[in-house]
Amino acid sequence: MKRFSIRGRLLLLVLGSVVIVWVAMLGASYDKAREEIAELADARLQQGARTLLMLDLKRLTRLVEGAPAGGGDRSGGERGGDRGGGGERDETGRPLAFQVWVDDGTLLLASAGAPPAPHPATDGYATRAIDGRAWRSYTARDERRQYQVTVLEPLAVREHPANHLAGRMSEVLLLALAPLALFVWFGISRGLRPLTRLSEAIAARSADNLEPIRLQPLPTEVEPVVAALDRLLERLARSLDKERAFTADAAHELRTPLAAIKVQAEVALAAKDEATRSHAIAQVIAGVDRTTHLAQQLLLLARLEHVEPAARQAIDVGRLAADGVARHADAATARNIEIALEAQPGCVLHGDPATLAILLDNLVDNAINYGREGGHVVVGVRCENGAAILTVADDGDGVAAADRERLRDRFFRVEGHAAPGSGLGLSIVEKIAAAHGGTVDIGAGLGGRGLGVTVRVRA
Amino acid sequence: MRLLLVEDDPILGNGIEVGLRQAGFVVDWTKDGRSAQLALETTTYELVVLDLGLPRVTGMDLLRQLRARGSDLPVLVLTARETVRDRVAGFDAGADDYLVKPFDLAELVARIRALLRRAHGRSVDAIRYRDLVLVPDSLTVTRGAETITLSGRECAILTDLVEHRGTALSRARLEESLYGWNEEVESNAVEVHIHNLRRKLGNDLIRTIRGVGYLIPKDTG
Repeated sequence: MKRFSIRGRLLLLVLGSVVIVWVAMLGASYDKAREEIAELADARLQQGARTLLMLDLKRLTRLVEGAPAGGGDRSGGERGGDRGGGGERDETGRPLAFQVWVDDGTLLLASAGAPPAPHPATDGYATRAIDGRAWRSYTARDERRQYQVTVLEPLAVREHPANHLAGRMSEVLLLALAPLALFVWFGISRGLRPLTRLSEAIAARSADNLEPIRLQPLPTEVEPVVAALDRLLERLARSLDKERAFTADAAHELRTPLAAIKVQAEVALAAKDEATRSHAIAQVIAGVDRTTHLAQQLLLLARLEHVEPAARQAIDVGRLAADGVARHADAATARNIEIALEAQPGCVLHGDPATLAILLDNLVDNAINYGREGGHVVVGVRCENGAAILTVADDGDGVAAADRERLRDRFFRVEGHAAPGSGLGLSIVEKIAAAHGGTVDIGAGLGGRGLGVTVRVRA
Repeated sequence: MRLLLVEDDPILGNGIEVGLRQAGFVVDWTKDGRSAQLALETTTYELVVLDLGLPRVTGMDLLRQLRARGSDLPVLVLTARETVRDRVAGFDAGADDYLVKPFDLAELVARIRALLRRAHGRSVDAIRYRDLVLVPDSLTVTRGAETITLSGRECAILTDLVEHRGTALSRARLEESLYGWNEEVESNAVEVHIHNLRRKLGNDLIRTIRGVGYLIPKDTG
């Protein structure tokens, strides 16, 4: 990921925009200046021509004295003009080249620096290429004396003032760029101050402090960010609270089985007869087994809290149930319970086989533990309206209808039972079913007796 | 010394029951609040060991009902909850002592003895009667330099009679404090223990009130 700074980016954008506008402005000004300079220079040409027309030939001749007619030596001619004071000068001090034509097209006189320009056909302004240079000329005619005066100026000399002006302006703007950058930099820093405050406020948050970020005044641009953050903090606080409650509950739930192990161990230690001692030690072992089971269930539940079931695959539910029943056949026989599978063949759902096996184990475990000694447990599988339905039912004492929903609560145990479990079995079942988008219904078991749990998962 | 244990956990309940028997107490064990209520109504107990997390009637409710009836039966509460708030709530409901799981069996026994001593207005674990010093915890009676050892049941009967001195206790009443529910009561057991006590401590200590029971007279000297 590329790192970038808002400050740097904004600075670049602002300065870039300023420079672009400046260049455009400079270009426009340059064009305008050139236009005006051209107008001014044209006026000067015209002025020059009119002035020359007012002179008589003798004085004109004196003006070009020493200069060869036709001005063959251009560069020398200009210098010659300067040296000899030749050529008409205007207020800018630049010499103007001129030609005097007789009406029949014969060149009468030419000032120093005047190009070998052909006779202009018409009066007024003209732009002509002479010997590869562009010249601007103005021609005026003296009706009385019947000759024409053409004043000429190379176009190139007009470029100079415009270029000069543009150069000066660029220099000034270039110099202005540095202080401008400085101001923009400070301005952006000031503008970004709410972000700095926000980052400080966020840095102050921790697992112990998940209060919403209350920053006033808040810029409108940052408001949605803070609102989203506050929502996140709230969700985080809620899930953290749940986690803490669960941990506290779990710690309490572990105290009773641990106390049982300790007391039984102390009884074994103090026992004077072998029967009491061996019974107490057997109880210690049973207590450790029970605690281990509780710890496993807690871990499982904690893991289910955070992990989505692994890659889903097509599962034959009948097969899954048959495996589950097989795993529990021994436990069922130990309680003299007849366990049976009633599976509709070809029932398939997409899910995670590992967690679904845990779901089934918990249900069958419960049915065997809480069922009637010498009773029945039936595991059923069927398909209905595109859903796989798994039922586990027993014919034991069951749970009063009023208490059935409480079975879903964590650590809720069926009262007065000889072998209390972790109280987490159905919580685990619900978690796994929910992860598969399924539902769990708790109702009566076989023949209206006992408990029947139905898990419905979309195939 | 007959105690009622109210504990729903089978392994823990069994452990406490056996452990308290080892310490010489007579223990009845009920596994839920309702059975405990029944037991309290029908049997005289010296003390109740009560788990707070019970099915049906919670330990806390049982305790409140007991106190509401005006009973000052000592109650020792067992609980997995250990915060100050939980403890305060327990004491407010009428608990006399509080033990957080997991605990030492020895501590439970010591606390039960302390509660029983206090219930009988004693602060040391020895009962004086005339020239006798009875120490129930060690099942001994000392008379001057002589130390006489008693059996658990002999000690229980003697303690019962000495603590209720001046009142005749019936054979049935003494039997009740000797045997838990599951224990077979031998028909002449009380007579046998009285006989043994008289043999060990002299005939003039325990008097027979015909048709009523047995009596240790008030300590006049």
